Amino acid sequence: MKRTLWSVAALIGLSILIFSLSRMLPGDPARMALGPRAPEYVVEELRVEMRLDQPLHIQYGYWASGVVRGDFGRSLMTRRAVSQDIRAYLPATIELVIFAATVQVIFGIALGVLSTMYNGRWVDNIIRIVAYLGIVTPAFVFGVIFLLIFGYLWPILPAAGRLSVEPAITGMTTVDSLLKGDFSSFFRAISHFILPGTALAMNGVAQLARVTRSSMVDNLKSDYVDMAFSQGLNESKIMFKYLLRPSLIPSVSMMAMQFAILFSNAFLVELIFNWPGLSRYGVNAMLYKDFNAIIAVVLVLGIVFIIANILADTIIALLDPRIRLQAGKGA
Amino acid sequence: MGKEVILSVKNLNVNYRVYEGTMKVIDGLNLTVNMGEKVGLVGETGCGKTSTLKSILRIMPQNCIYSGEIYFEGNDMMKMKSDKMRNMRRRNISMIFQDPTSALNPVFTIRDQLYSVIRNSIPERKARNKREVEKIAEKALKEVYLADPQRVLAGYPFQLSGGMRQRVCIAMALATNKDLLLADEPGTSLDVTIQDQVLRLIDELVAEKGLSVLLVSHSLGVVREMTDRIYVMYGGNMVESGPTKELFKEPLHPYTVALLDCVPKLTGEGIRATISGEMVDYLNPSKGCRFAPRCKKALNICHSTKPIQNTVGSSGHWVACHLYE
Repeated sequence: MKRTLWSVAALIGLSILIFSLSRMLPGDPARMALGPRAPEYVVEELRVEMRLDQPLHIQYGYWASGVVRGDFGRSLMTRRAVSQDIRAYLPATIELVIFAATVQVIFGIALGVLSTMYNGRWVDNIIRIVAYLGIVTPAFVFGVIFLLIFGYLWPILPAAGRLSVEPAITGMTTVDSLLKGDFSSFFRAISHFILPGTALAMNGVAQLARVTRSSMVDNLKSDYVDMAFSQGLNESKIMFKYLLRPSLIPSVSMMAMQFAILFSNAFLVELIFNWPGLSRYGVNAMLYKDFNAIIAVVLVLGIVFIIANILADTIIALLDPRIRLQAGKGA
Repeated sequence: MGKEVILSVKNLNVNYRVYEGTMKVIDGLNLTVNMGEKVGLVGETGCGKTSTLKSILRIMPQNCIYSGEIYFEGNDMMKMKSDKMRNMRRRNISMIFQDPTSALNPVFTIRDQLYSVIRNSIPERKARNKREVEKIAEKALKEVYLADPQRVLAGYPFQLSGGMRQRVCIAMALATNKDLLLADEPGTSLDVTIQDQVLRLIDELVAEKGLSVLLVSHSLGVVREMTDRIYVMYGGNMVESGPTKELFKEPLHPYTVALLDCVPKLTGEGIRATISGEMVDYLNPSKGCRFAPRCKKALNICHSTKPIQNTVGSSGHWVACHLYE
């Protein structure tokens, strides 16, 4: 409850900040929208229509009252309502990011566990070196490499674009195809995710593997693991139960941050794979000085980030009774 | 010694690979525990007591290299395959750790941890029976005088007091029938009155169940009360051993003498003496007696030649010191 209030406060703060920043940028959005050859009086009219002639706090007031009603204003770039644009682009990005996050969780943790089990041996060393490479290589490089290999040299996966499923109920192709009960298009939708999603996930897989490994290797030296071994419990039970669970806490906190990073990294990946997503939309909006679109995208990402953090805290509380029970007492 | 030997450690060497080189911690250690006997292993912090216990169970860290022979009821555990070794841990040997706070897993309930130990060490048919496991768990907790087993079972380690945690650890070690108990300074991390209770409890349960015990401690008072026979360890070597009473009456090795002098007496003299000098440098231990650099009575030979065990009297008392050759 307290958290929710804080989240709302954070969102309001974020909106004020981004709103002021966007208005302070040099350059005239009305002029940008109409092009250099539009007559001055038309530009002036648009400026009035956009309330650019009024003081900042009044502009914010108008804007905020619109947002509460779900109206983010009109995009200068697409000439459609921003809310409509977001509805069109957000599901594609969310779907991509969730796919990438799933890949990260599965492979990152699996590699971390594997690395711990072969701690100090060659499997561990290879994983650690590859993980280093994974961290220093930007997502778009992976994107281009994947595109070259699987789209060009050995075309087994769809390299660009996204499946469209009609009717679009949620806008997420996988969910929509499942809702329709159409499994073949569900699998085709998934196949479209594999290249961009994996390219996007690589950084996080590498980081998660490293964090999971180091946390597990630390705890491997702990007395409770020694005691579990001394009791003759079997090794896989110790590894996957008694060692993994207390070791996952730093990994989960990292995933929450990764989730936000995924959205920003999604831009180049969306560009490379021609993915109609929100990140690409957001960056284009910035290049066009499309205020309303910029603010809306930032706000939506802010909400996503807050949700991801609340989710991470919930998972940590589930993993660690010390946090769960102490917090319960406080509230 | 006509008694049946349950545990015998022969020529144990334990080395740790560290960044600076190899630490030669335990150097040719010998030790036996007879059936039903309570044996103490005394020495100061860092002398390799815990390493000895951990090598008996083969739960050493990865940077550790060890060799030697460890016989349990006649079988060399050093040569056992890992699944057979695991069975030894499940059915024959238990260990109580020094610090109950770090020995219990912080994120699982006591029930989870105690049940998994019990399930693991009783026959499979019984282990599948939930009532059976619960019965054993409750009995084990009652044996360590935890009054409300259900409440303890439902709790997490951080919700229990230090003394209760130690009791839970003892219950885990003794819930099922074992033959040998390795106790690593039980209760050292607790305050003195609780420590005393815990030790009495172990003593009582061990007598009741007829276990053999190897008790590690740096406290002479504790081993004097609880053991039949004592090994005194210094810097990874056994320096003296004998029946508890005799050793306290007539300590021979200069280290044992100094150790006994350190114990504060109730005569109001305060702390009487300390042992000057530093701990053994395990990276470059001296070729001779490891205590020689700190020994007030050291001879020339002490720095160059390792002393052998010299038997004194007929009760099995021996000392590894050149002064008694």
